[in-house]
Amino acid sequence: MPRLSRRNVLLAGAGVVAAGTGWWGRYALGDTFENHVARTLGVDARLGAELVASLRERHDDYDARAAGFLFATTSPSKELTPRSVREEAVEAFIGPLVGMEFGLITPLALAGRTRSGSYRPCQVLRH
Amino acid sequence: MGTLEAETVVIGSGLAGVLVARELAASGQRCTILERGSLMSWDEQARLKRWQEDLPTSELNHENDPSGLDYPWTYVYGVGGSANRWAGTSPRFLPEDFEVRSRYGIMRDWPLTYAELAPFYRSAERAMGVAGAENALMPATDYPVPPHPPGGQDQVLEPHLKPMIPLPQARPTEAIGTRAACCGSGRCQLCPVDARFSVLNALSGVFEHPDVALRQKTVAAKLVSDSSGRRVSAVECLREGGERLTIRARRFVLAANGIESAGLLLRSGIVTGDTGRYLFDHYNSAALVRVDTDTGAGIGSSLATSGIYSYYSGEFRRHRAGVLMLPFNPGAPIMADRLIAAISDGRSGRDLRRDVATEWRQTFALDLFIDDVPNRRNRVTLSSRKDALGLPLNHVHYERPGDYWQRGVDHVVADLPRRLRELGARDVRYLGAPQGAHLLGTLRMGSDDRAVVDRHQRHRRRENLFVSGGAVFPTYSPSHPTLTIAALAIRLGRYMALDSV
Repeated sequence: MPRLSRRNVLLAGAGVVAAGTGWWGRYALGDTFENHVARTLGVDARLGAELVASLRERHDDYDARAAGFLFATTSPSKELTPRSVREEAVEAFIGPLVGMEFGLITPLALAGRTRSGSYRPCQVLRH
Repeated sequence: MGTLEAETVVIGSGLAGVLVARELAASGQRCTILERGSLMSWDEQARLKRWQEDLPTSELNHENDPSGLDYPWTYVYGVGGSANRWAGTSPRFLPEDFEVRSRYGIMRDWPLTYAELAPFYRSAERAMGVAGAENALMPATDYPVPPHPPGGQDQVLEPHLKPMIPLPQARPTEAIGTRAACCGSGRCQLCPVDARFSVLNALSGVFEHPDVALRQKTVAAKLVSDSSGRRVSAVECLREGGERLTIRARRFVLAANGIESAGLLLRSGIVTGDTGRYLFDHYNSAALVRVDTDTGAGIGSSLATSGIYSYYSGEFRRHRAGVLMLPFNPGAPIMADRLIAAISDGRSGRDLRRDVATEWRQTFALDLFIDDVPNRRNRVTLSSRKDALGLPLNHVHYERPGDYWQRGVDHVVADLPRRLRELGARDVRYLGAPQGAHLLGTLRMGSDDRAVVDRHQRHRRRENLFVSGGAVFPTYSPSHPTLTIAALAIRLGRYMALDSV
């Protein structure tokens, strides 16, 4: 996947797809993408921000993944996109968070087994 | 072409080779270890997230027969071998695993007993820093490191699935030498603190011993027999850059993986009995059991902390496979599917999280290790295709596990809901995928005419050639093989130290 600037992608998306609605612009201009992830996953804002930060650190193509996730989970694009495409975009963003490679943080955080979503090599499993 | 002289040549620098070298060096005997790959330190492995360097000599050299499974054979060509990337689970076999023919009328007995191997098991556990506790299943243990405490799932399951023991594992509960204590990362194949045993973190002193020489990037291409046909006189090697080297020695130890050890004998024309046959790999298997109580998943001090032997032992082994079951502390891997599907369907928020979290918390994740009857058709031969060095590729025919294995799986899947009824068990899902990375059985040990090595792991047609490693296993057992490989290697090294051939 090509390296893209998240800000540019989102600004372009906001400009082309949602021109006039002002809807996507808020993600590009502030830090509310993290809040959107937190709201989607049903976790608090701090945990959402930690999960997003972890993904950003570990994936060079984070920007493209984040843009895809946003596209698949916000209106109006999600209504205009086939489910298979949405699922692919969601998987590209959520898949790494919940996989073994990532150190199990997200499943444990979602399940309430840990209160931190920051990536860490040790004490991933609760003793 | 260069020529060297050596006393003993050990082919392979993994666990099975280095422990033989360690015993020889301890008795004042010199040996030369040959390794196809190179040294990649743990720091480099962790940084690069891989276990071996890309070299012409370390390219994997097998191909799968298209009439069998397209199996993802996994092994490492580098100093330390495949023990650079294993997970660390280290149970002993049970006494009955050595006597399945005598006890259950199936497969073969080993040409040695548990009692004979027990002292070497103890030595292996010390060498590897195995954490464990005395238990009724494995006589004569004396673990050097205290066991991990039971994890969350262990505690919930223990009343229902007996016998359960603290899992012996080379993930120590306290620091040993340069190794840190296990930190519960859940990512043991690339341990973030270098706690899990590897040759590099526990046996690197062997390479520094004055009587041991390590030659990296050196491929054992062919063993040369003398005119009598009863002894190996030399090994012909290929080195990086195409250099050829012949090493003459008094004795040779074949300690590559189960595919390459057989391949080298085939390349050398040393073919007797069942050479190359009965290849086996434990198929990765898991059972996910949905219950209506919190399973305790996600709680534990290491990847797995208990071994469940409820389906391992008994007369049933006459007709179905024994199964060793390990509660997998990270929990079930099903969350991604459900989560992705739900979000793609437009769901979000606390309800979404509650659904996914509830399913995850109420699902036991049980790793299954399953025995099978050795299959003669599973074998290594030589391909007409060549590798980058011009040597024939190892051609592997491997079939899906057999009916004996399947009956073992079916029984576990059918019986778990009964045993876990009080917990509200209502659904058992079997997950299977290849890649056990154990590579056993191609040069089996025995006293019959078709066995490749005898009970001392001496080749039956070459008196100064020995085989170390999982290749010599005549049967496989439901248990992980690494500790038994280590115990056999120590036993072999001590035998060779006294052997005058």
